[in-house]
Amino acid sequence: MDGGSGTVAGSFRDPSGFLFRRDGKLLRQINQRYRKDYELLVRSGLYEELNGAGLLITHRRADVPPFKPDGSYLVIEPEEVPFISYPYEWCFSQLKDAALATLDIQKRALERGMSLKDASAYNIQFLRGRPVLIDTLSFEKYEEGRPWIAYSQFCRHFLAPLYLMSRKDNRMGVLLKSFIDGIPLDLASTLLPFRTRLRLPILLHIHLHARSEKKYSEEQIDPETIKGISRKGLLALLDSLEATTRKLKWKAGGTEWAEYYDETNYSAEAFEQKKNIVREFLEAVGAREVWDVGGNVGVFSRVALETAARVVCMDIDPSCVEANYRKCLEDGEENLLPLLIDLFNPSPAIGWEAEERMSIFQRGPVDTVLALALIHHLIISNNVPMARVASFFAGLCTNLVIEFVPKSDSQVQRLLSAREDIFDDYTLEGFLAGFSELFRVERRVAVPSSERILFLMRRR
Amino acid sequence: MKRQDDIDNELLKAFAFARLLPVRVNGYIGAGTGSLIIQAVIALTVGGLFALKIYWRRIKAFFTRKEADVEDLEQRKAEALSAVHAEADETSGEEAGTESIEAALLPEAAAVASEFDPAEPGAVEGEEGI
Repeated sequence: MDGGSGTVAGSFRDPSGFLFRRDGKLLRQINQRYRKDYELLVRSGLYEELNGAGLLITHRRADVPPFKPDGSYLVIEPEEVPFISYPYEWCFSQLKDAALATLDIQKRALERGMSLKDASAYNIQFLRGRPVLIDTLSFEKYEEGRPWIAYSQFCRHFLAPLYLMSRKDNRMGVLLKSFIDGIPLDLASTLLPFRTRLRLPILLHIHLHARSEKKYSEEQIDPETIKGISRKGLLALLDSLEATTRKLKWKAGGTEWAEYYDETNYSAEAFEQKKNIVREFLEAVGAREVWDVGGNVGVFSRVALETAARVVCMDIDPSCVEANYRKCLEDGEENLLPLLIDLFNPSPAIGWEAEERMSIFQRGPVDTVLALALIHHLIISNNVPMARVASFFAGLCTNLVIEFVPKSDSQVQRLLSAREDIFDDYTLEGFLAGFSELFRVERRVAVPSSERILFLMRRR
Repeated sequence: MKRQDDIDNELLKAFAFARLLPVRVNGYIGAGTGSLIIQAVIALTVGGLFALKIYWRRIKAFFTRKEADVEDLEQRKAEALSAVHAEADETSGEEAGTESIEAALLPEAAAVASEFDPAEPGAVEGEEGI
């Protein structure tokens, strides 16, 4: 997606319409072939109901010419989601909430004589902290007897990764990065523990589903012999999907940072001081949009929210992202989005022509980045040269709040304990020299009762 | 691996007893023949369980209902009724609201809204029978 004009790269599959940009504005062209379904969406009251429940993106009619006049019916202007995130960047509960939102939408649609024609996790985005369907063209008229066309997609995009995260390992959601149309069910069936066959929903929706797909992919079958499903049967299917999704529990697993704040080198008082310094820096630059990289459970993201309109908190640890998301829900924080991002291997651009889903960098830059207690991980754990760390941040932001953690710090010593110290330029002088070409130091404050120093830098 | 596949195959056979009317399926995403077939089987299986669950709840409710519950039910009924009456009083206002939403979203909605007859074929709820 670019900021100027043109069609949006990820919006080409459905012939009902597509997204495009004109003069930076996001618009959706609806084609004539979707006219009846769109009119039904509005007149059945489904749009109003879903929109009122916060489940479907708001849009208004746009009185502008279509992007491709041939076959065009209408152009609408949807509310723009400020930060697009993808299912492989969500923690367990984010994916679970997106799944439950999809099922809720489908149940409400059925009550009003419509049905979801797709159930892609990419159609769900987090807006003001809650999952919302962004594809207004996902509905079609429901006909009695018709099965749910998107059932298989729902199982691949939601159920399979959720079961894998809950029953096998909470890191398995990242498999969605390799399988853009959801985790193949035969793979999910192989990876899930054998004993999951004793659970009826998993047996039916994954194991037997996978087996049936395999069996009939090898057999020629007359489409007329596919059996229909009564409305009651369909509601029971949705009830089963909802019940099994709702019951799924997040599995902690011994991940690295969930208890990080209990093991830091700060006393409670020094920690408060650090918060104050960060707060001051952010106020000084008037931070509006902040990425808190390596943000753990989001303590400093919340400090940033006092100044900024929106904060994305990225961390490599699924437990931290999970804890952060739950706290957002508890406190009703709408402008903080916790995401699972591995800075050593950040989300690439993927999909058709590697353009369908944006890399994390294509979703920036932002005005301000927070990089607290991070630099030693980038340099010592990942052997990245100082100058490349600086150029990485220069590509992301204008203002950088960065903490320098000296070699004498026990956290750095821990990283160095099992390896040779090849990091001669990992000194305060080396740090300043590495950053001086791209950044200008605006402020420098030592964190009281620690050896760490906080810097406010501005890109040259 | 082989043994797991055999077990899954046998289980699949055990569940394959669905016999309903054939239906033609079209969609812009490939739904997958195998997926549609198992969907019908699952719908029938969980449909049966769903019905049993509901009947069981009703039976349980019949035997466990107490005086207090009945009073509570009466109270809720009365509340629901008064809510319906209150809503009826506001109906005209609500209709106007719906029209304005349609006008904001549909091209000829302003004109259509005034002529709109729910019983007309193709127009919402009348035809759907919901």
